[in-house]
Amino acid sequence: MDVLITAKLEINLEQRTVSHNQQVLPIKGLTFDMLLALLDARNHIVSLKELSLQVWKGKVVSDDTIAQRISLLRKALPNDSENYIESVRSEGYRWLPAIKKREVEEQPSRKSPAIMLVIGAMAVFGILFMIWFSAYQPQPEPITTQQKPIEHGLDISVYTRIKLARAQQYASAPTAEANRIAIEMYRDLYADSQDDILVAFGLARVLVDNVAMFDGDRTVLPEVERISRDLLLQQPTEPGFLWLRGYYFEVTGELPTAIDYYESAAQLDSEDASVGLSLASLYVEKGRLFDAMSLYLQQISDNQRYPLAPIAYIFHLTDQTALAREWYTAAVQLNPDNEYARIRFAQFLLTNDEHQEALDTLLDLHRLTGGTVDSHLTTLSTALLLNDQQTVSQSLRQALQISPNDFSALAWQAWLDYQAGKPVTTPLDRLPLSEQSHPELYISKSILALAHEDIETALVMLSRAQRLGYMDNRYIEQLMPFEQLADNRLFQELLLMMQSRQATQRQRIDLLNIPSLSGN
Amino acid sequence: MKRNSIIAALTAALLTLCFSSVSQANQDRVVLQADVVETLLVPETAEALSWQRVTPQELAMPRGAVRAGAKGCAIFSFSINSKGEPTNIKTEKVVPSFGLRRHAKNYLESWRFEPKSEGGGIEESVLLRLDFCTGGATPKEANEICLYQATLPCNK
Repeated sequence: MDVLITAKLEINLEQRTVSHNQQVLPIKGLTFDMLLALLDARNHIVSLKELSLQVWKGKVVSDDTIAQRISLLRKALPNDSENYIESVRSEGYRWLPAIKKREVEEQPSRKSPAIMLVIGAMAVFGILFMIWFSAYQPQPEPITTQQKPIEHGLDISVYTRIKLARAQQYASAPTAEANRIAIEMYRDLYADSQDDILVAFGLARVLVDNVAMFDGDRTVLPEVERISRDLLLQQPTEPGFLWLRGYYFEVTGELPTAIDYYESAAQLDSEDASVGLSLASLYVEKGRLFDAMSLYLQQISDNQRYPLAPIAYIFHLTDQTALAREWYTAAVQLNPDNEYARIRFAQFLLTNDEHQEALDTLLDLHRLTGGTVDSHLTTLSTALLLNDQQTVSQSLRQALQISPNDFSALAWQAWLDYQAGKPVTTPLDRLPLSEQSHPELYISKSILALAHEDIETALVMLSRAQRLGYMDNRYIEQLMPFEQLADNRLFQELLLMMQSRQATQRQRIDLLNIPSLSGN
Repeated sequence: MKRNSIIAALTAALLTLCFSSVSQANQDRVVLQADVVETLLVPETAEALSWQRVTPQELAMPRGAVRAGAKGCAIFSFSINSKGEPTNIKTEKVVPSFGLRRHAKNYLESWRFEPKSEGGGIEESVLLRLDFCTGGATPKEANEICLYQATLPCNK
């Protein structure tokens, strides 16, 4: 185990710690690498280029970034150490105090002659080095501001503040590209300040966004689990942290737990728009349309508009065709690249036998954004009705390209294989579902069961979906795989149960004061 | 040696005479060279912005600042809003604080940006340093002076 001693600092290379008077200093990550790079140079100047090579592993970084890192390092060092790092204008930086190396490990008692020889040589070299060093570097020069490279005389906290603001702005922009950039920004900030709750919260949020909205990598979810749990431990009644925890459970498919967290957050802060919208969308999934509608009507976003597409979907589910069409049209006009609005609108057009229009609106979306798994699968079911085999196979391919393990995409693939007389490769027990799961997943599982010619399981799955809150009977009737069940008594009964649930919800919604769209 | 220096002195005197007569012909104007240099601090490069500046295309010392003889450095944080205008302008640092502050801020307020992509720009915060400089015999020299000033800490 190697330990470097310089000034009054002890640098443990193995544990990557720096201590001063037995106390470990907050020098880690890039800041530690920066210190090492300076010490490695043995009191010679390390150029900016060398620093970017050693500390950032060759990534191109600006001189400012290096200056900031040096400033962080200077701040982390003890108070009396301002003069340890010399800034040499337009050249680089130099560590001034003498550096010694100490072996902490127990020395073997009997040394072999070869080792003795090596140690002897090192000692001679060390003495020579010390002589050279004392002649070369007698006293650390005081540093004047003139010698400092570009730091612009700003406190590092200003940089951090603006970087955090930028990350938050990119996180709020609704595109996959902005989300990717936001993740990068938060990762950089998080590497420097893991204890900053705003940074940790932001990072966890953009990571879940990536999974929830852009079919992103699910392997980051354990990290989100850890961060969201830690944040709640620190501040158990912070609505934002409760919301984040709920968001995590929504994405992992534990809806009742997610609803619990969202409801706690909403109780503490009924004004928070993201809490209200998240909770309302889960109410819709669970068939609680009235609760959802009441919440949506409370949410007026910054531009003085109601959440148009979700409200349209509630009209659509409760069979208020004219209103649904009006609100959907407004939603799509306002945000042509809003995936949720387009998918739901297409499903609505499908149930009104406007198949070509449904396909057109989806293809429009794909021209704008490239689409999501859901939008491609909706395209697939639409193209099936239009008997457009080319679009069917193309949509499936694109959905699987975005997310190769998406359960719904695999179910459709299985059913298409079954139709084509090919062997079905996805087993029926591929995705274990629970009472907590998204009801829509049971519809996919039902399609998979039909691919396995298991009508009984298909009906059980449909009935679970219905019991858990699924109620779009008209959409089910439009899905090609369920055509064969049209005469099945149980199937008909399930659809009727969905319908009666809609009617109950609609009666309650009719009591609400729904604003007219033209006045909105 | 002595002869050489005498010749040199004579030549210098002659040249001075020539130039002074020429400048007298130009009615002896004082030409003030001025320049403005921008340094993006956060993000580090303009490529990282979802916007590009359309007004002004090239930076130049604002007239008010020239008249007031204002020079120095200023660091601003601001957001580019959805219309491409700088908003929430906050002066993080300005040296000297008297005189330059207002001119620099007015100048920044007049800037306009356009989104780089068709989908529109993202409302984003920026940390920017502006150096206002005067001096030098030519625009090139003024620019060099200003580029040098931009490397110095913006401190008193």
